[in-house]
Amino acid sequence: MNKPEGYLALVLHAHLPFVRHPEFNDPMEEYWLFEAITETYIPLLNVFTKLIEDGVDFRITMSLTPPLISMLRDPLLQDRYLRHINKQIELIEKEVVRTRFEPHYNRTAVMYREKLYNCRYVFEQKYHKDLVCGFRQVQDAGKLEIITCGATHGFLPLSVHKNATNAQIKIAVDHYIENLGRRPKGIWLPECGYNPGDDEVLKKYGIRYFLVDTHGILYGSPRPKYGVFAPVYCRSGVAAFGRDLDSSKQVWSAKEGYPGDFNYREFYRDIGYDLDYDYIKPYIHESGIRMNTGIKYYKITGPGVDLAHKAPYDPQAAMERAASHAGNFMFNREKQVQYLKGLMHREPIIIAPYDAELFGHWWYEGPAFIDYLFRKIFYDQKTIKLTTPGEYLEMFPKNQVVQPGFSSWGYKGYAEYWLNDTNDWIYRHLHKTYDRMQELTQMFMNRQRTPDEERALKQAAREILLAQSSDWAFIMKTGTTVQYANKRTVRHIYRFTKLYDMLKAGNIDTGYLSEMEWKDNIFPNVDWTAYA
Amino acid sequence: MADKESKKKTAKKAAFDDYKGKKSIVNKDISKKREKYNEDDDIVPQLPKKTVKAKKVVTRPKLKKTKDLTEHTMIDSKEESDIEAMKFYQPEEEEKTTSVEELKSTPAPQRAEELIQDKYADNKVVLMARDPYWCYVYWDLAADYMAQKAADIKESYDLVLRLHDVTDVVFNGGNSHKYIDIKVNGEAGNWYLNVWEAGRTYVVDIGYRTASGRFILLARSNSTGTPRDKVSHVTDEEWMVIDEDFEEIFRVSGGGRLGGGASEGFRSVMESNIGMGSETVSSFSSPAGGSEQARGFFLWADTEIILYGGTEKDAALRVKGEKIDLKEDGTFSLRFHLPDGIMDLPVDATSSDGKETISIRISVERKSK
Repeated sequence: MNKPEGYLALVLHAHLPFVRHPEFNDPMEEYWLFEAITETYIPLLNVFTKLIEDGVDFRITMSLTPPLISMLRDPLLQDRYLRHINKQIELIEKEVVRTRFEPHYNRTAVMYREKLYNCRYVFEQKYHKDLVCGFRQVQDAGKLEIITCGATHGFLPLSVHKNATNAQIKIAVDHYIENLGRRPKGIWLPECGYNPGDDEVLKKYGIRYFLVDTHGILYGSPRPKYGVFAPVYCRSGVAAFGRDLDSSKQVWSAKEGYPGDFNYREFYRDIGYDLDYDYIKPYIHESGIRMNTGIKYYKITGPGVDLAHKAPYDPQAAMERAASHAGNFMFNREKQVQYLKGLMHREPIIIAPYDAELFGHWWYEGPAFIDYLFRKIFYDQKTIKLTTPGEYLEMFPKNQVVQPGFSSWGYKGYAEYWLNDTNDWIYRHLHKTYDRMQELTQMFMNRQRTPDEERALKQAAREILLAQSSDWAFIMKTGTTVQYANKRTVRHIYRFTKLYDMLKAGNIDTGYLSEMEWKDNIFPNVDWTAYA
Repeated sequence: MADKESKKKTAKKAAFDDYKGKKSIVNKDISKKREKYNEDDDIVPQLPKKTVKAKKVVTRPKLKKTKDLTEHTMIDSKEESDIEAMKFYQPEEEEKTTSVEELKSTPAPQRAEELIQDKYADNKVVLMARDPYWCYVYWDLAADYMAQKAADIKESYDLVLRLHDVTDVVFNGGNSHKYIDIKVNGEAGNWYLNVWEAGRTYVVDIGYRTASGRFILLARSNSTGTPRDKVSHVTDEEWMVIDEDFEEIFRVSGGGRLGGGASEGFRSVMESNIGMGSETVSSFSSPAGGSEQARGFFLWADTEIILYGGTEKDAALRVKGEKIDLKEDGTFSLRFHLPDGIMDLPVDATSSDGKETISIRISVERKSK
């Protein structure tokens, strides 16, 4: 194959906060995971495995965060997902019957039926409920580069305490090795939040690269010669890749973005809200509160069309749009690469990072878009080639030394989304837990510990980590399910403090400890000394 | 999508009221259920009392924000945040309180637990950078500690935050580039500070300022750096090669050829390979102010240092831990920019069989006034 003129790296960040409530039967927040499995994770896995089967060479990068991996491998959640998908299958069977005289709805119902049965097959039969295993196989086949993330997606620029940053990285890397059987080459810093110096911690744990938003590189010093189209090295030798704006906009943006196409499926119009209450009741939340079922029959239809006037979805037409958007995306990247190659005299890399859940959950046709895009890149042109940041570094080990700037990919580009009057109160508490955990490590590290003390120290570390998820601050700011985010933050700080007091007093309530181990069971082998 | 985003919230409710027709019945149904669930509210963890807050304390007219690249290059990340939030969508927007606790069907045994204290009285102040122009500070001072510190003051005084610009200095309390005092209400416990300029490092002291101008320190914060808000004017290029096993970072040859009159280009390559900080380089190119003034008279001065020596031809030589290639006769010569401060240049030679190592430690200090 001829040498390409440039490279494209699609990076999907797959993350959900750790939500698992063994103490409740049907916790609503667990549906975040179930929906993402059905609409994003399984469809993406299907795309990857089918491409491999068809002999289409491709490269993609995905961060699977430690909380997501933990949930995907948790037996309780696996069983609950199965219960969920079985209910959905029951519902779609009824739907296929109900819509039998309305072909414009029925074709969509039939599509859902096929997909839901496939989901159950892939989940239960093919991967024996362990989707991580599926992603791992694609990685081992050399097509997917799985990178890690902060242990619980803690927003690093606001940790202030070095030991908290250290623990977020160390525990994530340990977890990656346990679950994926190798070391991670790269990391998706939570929310792309980078503060100069964090790369030293990454280096300590053998991570070769991270990703930042465009201005993190552009405002770096010295001025980056190639902008975001080549990685830069921090002084530590860890590489930073910057996000490309054009390719980002085409997928994220309202004006220029693909997902707003009128033929695509409308996210907000769901039969969980539309249909007769008695009919739908068994398939919404067990309390009887209406919620999304994932079965949606309408398309976006047009600009400003209100929900009541949406037109029926046409799966065939939507697929055609996805194919043509994939062609457009590829064409633009080819032009971009040709232009850049002339300027740079070296093959540029275009980093296109997105939330994984954007594909499928928000943009229903997103996985099909990726499928079409990869096939077209493989068969239809020679200008660009897919790669991963890790692979690009192997090809181009010589890069400019630039200190990237403090930045994030959040609103306004820095830390404001996670530090404002809705959520600033959490930091004095979080910082206190880092201080106290450090105190505990100093107290216990070099002395004989009882098994209960060891357990309590591990649990204390888990509680801190869970409190640290940037998702809680994020939700407080967005205004959805704020109460849940507040509770989670307070609860984990409370639990940590209680364990801290017990450890200090040398009086561990093993009943309480066992209950917390049962409820907050993430990171069974957590290394609490990471807080030293 | 923006249309969708913005109109959703309003459109959704109206649309459903129209469309469903059954809405009122459904809602009655739900509210009945909610009453039932809300009875268990005693288990809801309590939030710490919100501290009194003062917002937007403009400390000084800030430098004009450079609009050049921020405006153009940054994507509408609000939109991304909105989409990201769809992962956490909650059903029935009207029902703001929908959450695990309220919806549980099998009440698990719960204690009235999980109340956290709102302050720790640990006499500290913490500074956090939020963006190029704003920092957030919180403090936690014990009442008796504050009273004790105030006991000796015989005049009137205020509680102030003293914000220091400590960029590139080792702060000792008195050597900041500049500082400003912000009078605060002790009850507030936190404050947003509008800072002078982007890309600087700040420390905040909290203390009493007396009428005669004395400052009694109560606590000093960590230092924090704000991000720069525009493209760096430093254009020196440094390049680095990293090989696969990651440990042997710098593999460039060397010094020898630099002996006589190194070209500018080569010199910067050398620097990259000897691991000098980018600050060093920035001082390299920072334009000497005089040269831009209207009048012709100017002065600028800078220093470089040459490190040279020799060892066995086949020995392995490291300077500052980085491997240096020797000339054919076993000699080497390296040229560095020498900025203000102390520069350590450890030189280590290891014999080819790896059995012997000789080290020489050279330390050079430059002071300019």
